[in-house]
Amino acid sequence: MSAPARGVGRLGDRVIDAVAEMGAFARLAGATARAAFRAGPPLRETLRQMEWIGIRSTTIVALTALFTGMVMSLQTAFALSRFGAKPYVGGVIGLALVRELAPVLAALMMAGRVGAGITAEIGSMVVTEQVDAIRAMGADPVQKLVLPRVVAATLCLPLLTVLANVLGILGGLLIADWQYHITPHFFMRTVTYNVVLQDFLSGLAKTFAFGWIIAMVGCYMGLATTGGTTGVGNATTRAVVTASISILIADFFLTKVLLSL
Amino acid sequence: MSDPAVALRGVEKSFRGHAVLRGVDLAVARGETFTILGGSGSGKSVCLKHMIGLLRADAGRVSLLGTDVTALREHAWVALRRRCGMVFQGAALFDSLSVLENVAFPLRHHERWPEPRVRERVAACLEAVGLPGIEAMLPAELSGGMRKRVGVARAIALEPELVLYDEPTTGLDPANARRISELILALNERLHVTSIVVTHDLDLCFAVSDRLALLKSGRIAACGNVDEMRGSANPDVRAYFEGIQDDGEVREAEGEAHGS
Repeated sequence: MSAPARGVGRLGDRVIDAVAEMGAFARLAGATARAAFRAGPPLRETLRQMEWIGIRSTTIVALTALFTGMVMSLQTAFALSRFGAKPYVGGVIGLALVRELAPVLAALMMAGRVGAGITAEIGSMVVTEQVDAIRAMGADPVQKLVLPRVVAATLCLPLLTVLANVLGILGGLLIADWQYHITPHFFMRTVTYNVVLQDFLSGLAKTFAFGWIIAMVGCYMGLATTGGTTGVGNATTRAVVTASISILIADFFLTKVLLSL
Repeated sequence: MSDPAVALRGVEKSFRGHAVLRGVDLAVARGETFTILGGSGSGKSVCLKHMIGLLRADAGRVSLLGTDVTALREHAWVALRRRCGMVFQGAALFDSLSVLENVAFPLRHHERWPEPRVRERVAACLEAVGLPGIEAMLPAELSGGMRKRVGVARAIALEPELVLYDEPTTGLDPANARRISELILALNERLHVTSIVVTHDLDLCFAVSDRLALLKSGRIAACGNVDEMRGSANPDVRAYFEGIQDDGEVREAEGEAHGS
């Protein structure tokens, strides 16, 4: 076989693998939805996951939002001062954070921390036969493992995003006050004048989808783990990369849909 | 054999083009302790996983407790698995759960018992495996032998009709390995369960088996009771008992050649 033909063959194999993987992901998503309606998530495990996914992500999301708000304040005030519009820094930061930055940054932070953790935990359970043990005892690993994580991530990310919105704006306010002598009162007036409820809701709506993506990708990669501890490491890396890229792609399409509403 | 507990007929299984089982035929009678012997990578565990539906055969038929399970859908397995217990090679205890929660897992999943009754059953199972009072411990705090015994306690929590043991003595010191064989015998005596043991440990095999089979090259090379197999002239059986591999090497694992 000639080199170009081999190249086409390899490309074909990759396309087939990718389609098969998407099919397997869709099957897991379907099984998760069925488990949600049939049995519902186990309450205790879901609460445990909410604590781990939500409460323990608070620090990383809070720090990210605070410093993003601070650096945005620096950059935005610097840029707006060229047009003599420096006092309106609050409105610009508020809109950018609430509509876009807080949801996406909180999601990316969660993908790094939680997505990796989910894959590592479930992947380790696969290679040590714990997932087989769940099946052998007549239980459903999707209901026991996947559903609690998906429910927890889907509910917790919006809450973390609300926190990120507040802290991001607070960070912007502090720098605007210290660095550019814009009073907190005036800063907040520009925020509340420019940011309306619809902005807040459109940002928040996306985070339900992002939370679902993070947990589903993490669980899928974990359950598909093969090859012992090395396999767990590889799956974890793939989960973070796949979830992060999926969030950015989904963000574009969701924003487009939400803007057209 | 009429109405066997487990029967495999011409079961074949390949992984990525590599054939592991090439037509396995065996039947295990109700109430007996049946051992599947074989070298590492001979497909013993694969065989066991077909019996409880963790793997699906490429060809052939599998029946479990009177039901043809060859093409059974996952949700239809629940009722059958409720009647079985499985002890995994590495115990497969849930790391994040305590011993109590591990042993109670099948009880809480299948039964709507009040909590005191669950705890009572867990305590009885731990007592049966010689580990009373360790409910609060986490799997990480247990030794290898204790983990295996907790795995057995979890497998018998629902008082199953069939218990599958995957390499129950692998990685254990001789004292713990002997304790596991005594445990299998004691459970069979007390609960009258059907037991299928997959192992390469001849000491365990001769201690617990009513019948045994040797799996080689993806097929059952020989099958019979302990005396028949000990006296067998089958070259595969002789080679296995004498610790000689195909390439003429002597098996390295200590203790494997005992009883040959």
